[in-house]
Amino acid sequence: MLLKIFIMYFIRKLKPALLGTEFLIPLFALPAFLIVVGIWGIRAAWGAIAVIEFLVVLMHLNMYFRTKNNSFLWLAAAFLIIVFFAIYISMFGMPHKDHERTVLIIPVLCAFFIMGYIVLNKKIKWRTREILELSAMPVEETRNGFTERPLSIGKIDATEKEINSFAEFISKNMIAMPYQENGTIIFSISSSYWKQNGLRRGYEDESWISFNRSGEVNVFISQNDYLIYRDTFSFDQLCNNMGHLFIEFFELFKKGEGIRIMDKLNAFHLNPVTE
Amino acid sequence: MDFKQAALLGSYISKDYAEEMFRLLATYSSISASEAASRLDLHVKTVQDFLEALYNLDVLGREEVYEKKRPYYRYTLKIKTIAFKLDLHYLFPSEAKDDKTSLRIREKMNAGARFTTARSDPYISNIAIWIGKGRERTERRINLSIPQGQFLYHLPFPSAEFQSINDIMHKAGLDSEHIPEILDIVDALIEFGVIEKGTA
Repeated sequence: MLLKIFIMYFIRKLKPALLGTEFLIPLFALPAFLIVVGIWGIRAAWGAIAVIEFLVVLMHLNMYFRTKNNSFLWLAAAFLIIVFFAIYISMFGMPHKDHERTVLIIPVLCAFFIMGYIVLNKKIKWRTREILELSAMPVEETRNGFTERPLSIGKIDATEKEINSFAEFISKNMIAMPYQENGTIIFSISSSYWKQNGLRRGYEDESWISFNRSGEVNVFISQNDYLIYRDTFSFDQLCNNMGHLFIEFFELFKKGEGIRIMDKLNAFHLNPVTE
Repeated sequence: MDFKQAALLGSYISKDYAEEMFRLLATYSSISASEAASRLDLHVKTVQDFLEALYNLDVLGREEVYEKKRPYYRYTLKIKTIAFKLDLHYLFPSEAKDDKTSLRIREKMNAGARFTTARSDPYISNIAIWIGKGRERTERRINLSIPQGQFLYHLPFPSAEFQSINDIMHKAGLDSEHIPEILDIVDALIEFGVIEKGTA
């Protein structure tokens, strides 16, 4: 019970999330949309929406192929409905008869419901901030000590097959993006909007945890991620905790208790949209 | 012969005109710098430096003579063989250096060094260190051997506790045969302010 209270009311170690690129895009898109309405009319604007939403569909399909997270397929389907709706309005305008309007709007409402369900249940939320919070949870010491070197955590008893299955689980649940390199799996904890949405690849300049084929675990926390912390927490302790957190996740996964990993991450109740 | 003498001898022997100079020295019972210079069509200063260097290395003998009250030197070849023996023993780490492996170290805070990690295996491939200030600031890059890179990969972080070189080597899985090169890089990085020493 005490543990539960502790988890529910934890002290935040990260600075509040800043407005990311995902918020800046609509901020610029809205005036552009209004300009299109002003110059070419509302139907042209719906056409523009159809094009943009189609790009979103492609983006989600790309994310599905990269993570194998089914929620992206649902989202792609939902956005496809919006695309068809926008194309229809753009070509024929809004129907005047009530029953025609209802037939058109019901699928759109379903699409919004799917989107809302997926977003609010954090099905496509990258768990970067949760990982960083969990890593800093037991750290009180503030001795800075940032270095660009990775930290060797130690060895785990794991087969290559187990590590590969774990990587699938981690990417499917949006905990980290795995990259395979010379027999080493690198779990990239990305804070970049472009990388989180599959628009850029690679783990350079990002924090990562690696498991090599002999079971050696190494951790690296990027300077950008270290600066997200409210205080200059002891860097070696942060790296150590992050490494052991992933080792704990791996052990839980091996025991078939992957759901406990998700419970642990969900216990933070971070905002599904802004964080 | 010590390293400096060997370097000096080597540099003069490697001159284009060295063999001709020795031929003259072997032919003449004694020869002055101006005579040799005119004979070989070289500048007298070049020949003077050559002969003086070999005199200082005890290869040549020198006698001061006077011509119209103006003194000058005549040189004679003292030996017929130059034995080039260079003692490198002192460059090998002494037994006492092994004690340095108990030195407790860690990375220095805000050292300003950039470590590049190898892509394939867990080791540091090179370190870039900034030396100097302002416009005079230059980057010094040190490429590391694999054992050195493995050692630095396991070097304690600036906020971590100090660890002995021995312990770090053990952690990195390095044998004692690598001690000399590890001590060498540790010494260099202490000098550059990348590594700091802890109290015993």
